[in-house]
Amino acid sequence: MPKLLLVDDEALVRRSMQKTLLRKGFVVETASNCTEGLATFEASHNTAASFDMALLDLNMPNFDGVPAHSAGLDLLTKLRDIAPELIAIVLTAYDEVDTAKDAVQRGAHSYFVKGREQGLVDLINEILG
Amino acid sequence: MTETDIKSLPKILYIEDTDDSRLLVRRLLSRDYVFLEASNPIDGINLALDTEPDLILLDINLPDLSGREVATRLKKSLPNTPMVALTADITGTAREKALVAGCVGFMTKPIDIDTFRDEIEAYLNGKREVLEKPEHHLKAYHQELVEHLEKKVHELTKMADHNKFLDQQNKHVIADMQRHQRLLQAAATVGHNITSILDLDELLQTTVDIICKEYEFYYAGIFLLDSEKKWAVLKAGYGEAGDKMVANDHRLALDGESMIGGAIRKGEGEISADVGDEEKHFKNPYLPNTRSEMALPLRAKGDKLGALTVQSEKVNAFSTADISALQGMADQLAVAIRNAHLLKDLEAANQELLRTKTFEAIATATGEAIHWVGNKAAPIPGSAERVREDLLNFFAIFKTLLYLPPEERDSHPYAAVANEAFSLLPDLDIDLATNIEALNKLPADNLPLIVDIESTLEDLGIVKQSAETILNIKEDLIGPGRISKADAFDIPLLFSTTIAGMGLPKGVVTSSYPDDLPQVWADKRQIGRVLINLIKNAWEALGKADHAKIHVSARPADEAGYIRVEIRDNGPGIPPEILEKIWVSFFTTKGEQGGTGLGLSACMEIITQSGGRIWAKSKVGEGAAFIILLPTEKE
Repeated sequence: MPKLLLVDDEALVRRSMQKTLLRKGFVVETASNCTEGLATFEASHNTAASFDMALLDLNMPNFDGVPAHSAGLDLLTKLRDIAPELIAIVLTAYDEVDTAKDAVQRGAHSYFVKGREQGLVDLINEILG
Repeated sequence: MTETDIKSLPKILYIEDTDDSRLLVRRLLSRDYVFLEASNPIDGINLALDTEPDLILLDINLPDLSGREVATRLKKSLPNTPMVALTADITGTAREKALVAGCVGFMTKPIDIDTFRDEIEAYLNGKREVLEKPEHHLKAYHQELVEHLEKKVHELTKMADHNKFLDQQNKHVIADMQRHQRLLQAAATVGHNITSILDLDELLQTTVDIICKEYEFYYAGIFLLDSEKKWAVLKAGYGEAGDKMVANDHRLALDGESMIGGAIRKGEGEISADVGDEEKHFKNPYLPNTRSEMALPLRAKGDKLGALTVQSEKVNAFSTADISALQGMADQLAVAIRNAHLLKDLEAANQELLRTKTFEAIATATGEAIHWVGNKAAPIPGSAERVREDLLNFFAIFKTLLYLPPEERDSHPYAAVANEAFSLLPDLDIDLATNIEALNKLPADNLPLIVDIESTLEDLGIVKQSAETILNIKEDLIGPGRISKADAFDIPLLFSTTIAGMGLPKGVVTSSYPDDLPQVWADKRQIGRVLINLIKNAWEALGKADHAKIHVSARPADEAGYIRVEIRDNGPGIPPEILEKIWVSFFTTKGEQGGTGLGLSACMEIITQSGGRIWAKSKVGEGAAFIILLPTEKE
């Protein structure tokens, strides 16, 4: 089963997405900020249980613990440093094309406007083929 | 010669109007006599009475009074002073007439220098000529006096007449001046009003009232051109007739034959001195007594604004001064009208700006709010779905265990799962015993009401659907945020494919574009969304009826650098009170037919972000038009 890392600072949103994905058969681990997300990723990196994909919220506390508009991109950059082949989807609240473009340039496969969880499931399945 | 000598010399007075004659005589006599002279008979008489000379020499042909008449006059006051006629008149009875009049001698000109002094000396020494049969000449002389008198009376009468005429003329001039003064005051009053009356209608009415009262004209009215520049519409008229015509929306075609139309077209005044002379003259039933009229254009800075009409009950009533004064007034008025129009435009633009800003602010605020609410609602549909699944799974377990024989039940894996779940309940602060106790107390008939799977599933459905509605709204609102892929594209191509994709019945949507329409710079997909939204709105406003017509057009806008798109329908139109609100988020007229009321606010946001403008024009019963300005160049 593909293993997913979900990083989002909004607890209810994070939990709900996690439950939806769990029910669809994915293995899902979560984190609520950049620092935690990086630690969770590193913990299983280069093991049999390494992550297949990262789902990263854009607007959340950055590595300094301060809410930042593109914190997700900072995390993405660090994750790509560790695992250049990592597949990532950026989660946004607004449909901000500039940020999304930026995300794709920094190695994200796609971006998803949060709302319909089923849409996220479809997108993940599409990317993982 | 001493002073005593001079005083003892005889005094001689010479009354003569010819300077040369006086000069000659002065030279001849002033050495030996005290020589006095006068150049006209009145001065001569006065001088004679004052000085009482010893001898008076009289010319006969004098102005106003003849020498003879002077003699007759002086004879009475100075009976002893000898008077001698000295004249060039040598007609038959000149000598006799002079003697009859009172002279004692008669000398002729030219003067004989050699003998003149001796002759004078002779008269001083008592020489007196005597006339035979004086009665005969006296009668002739009296006759002459009477004739002269008559002539003078006649002259005086004539002069008096002339004076009367001059007096009359003065009165006219004074009356004219007084009228002129009043007109100037009237013009000044109008000028003052122009700066003090802010309401244009009131200013126009006051002006026509002043013109009629001060100039004593029969009627005055002011026409202003309508916005289409087709009609001159009466805005103010004097008196009852004026009120009625204004109430009846009295108007004259700009390209018609009226004087008003002509004056506005040509930009110069038209005058009809006698309306009876003109066959084509329009007989206005409200103004039956008009005999002459004029129309003066109201123009300011090259703008044709309207015209002023002034009418009189008299033929040929307008003096040059009236015309120039009234035209001056009209010019002043035109400036005021133009200013009022500019002010109105400015106010409208201001209000439009305020509205746009207000809508933008509302859209932003509601956008933020809905975004927040949407995010909070995001997990709800998933949660509801999971609860539904879990509930059904519990039922599956419940049913499986219920229908198992008791001996197989405890060893079934479901029993282990259920027992484990029950054992977790105290950790979750749930005490099932309380629920069991409550259920036991219920009458058996009521139990189905409590354990109603249909109702439970329905409630879950409501939770899910409501949350999804909130998410839909959120997507509608953040949709416009997608703007970014701005590019140059052709309006006609985008519109025709977009319209074709909507699948409306054939003939409902028509379109027209000029061949050389410039491209616009915007996000093609978003502009397509706006078009779909507006056409959909129109289609719904038209009740999806067969006669529905929606016309889409585009052309270069009057504002440089923009294309003007217009989407016009023949629907019921939008009432003014609703027209104000259509851009506000969540405002919808569709009621139960669906619609979140976000379509137009989203359209406004898309167009504003594209650097364009969108607004609506509508009158009830005349359909509605949405107008969009889109930039042709990147900002």
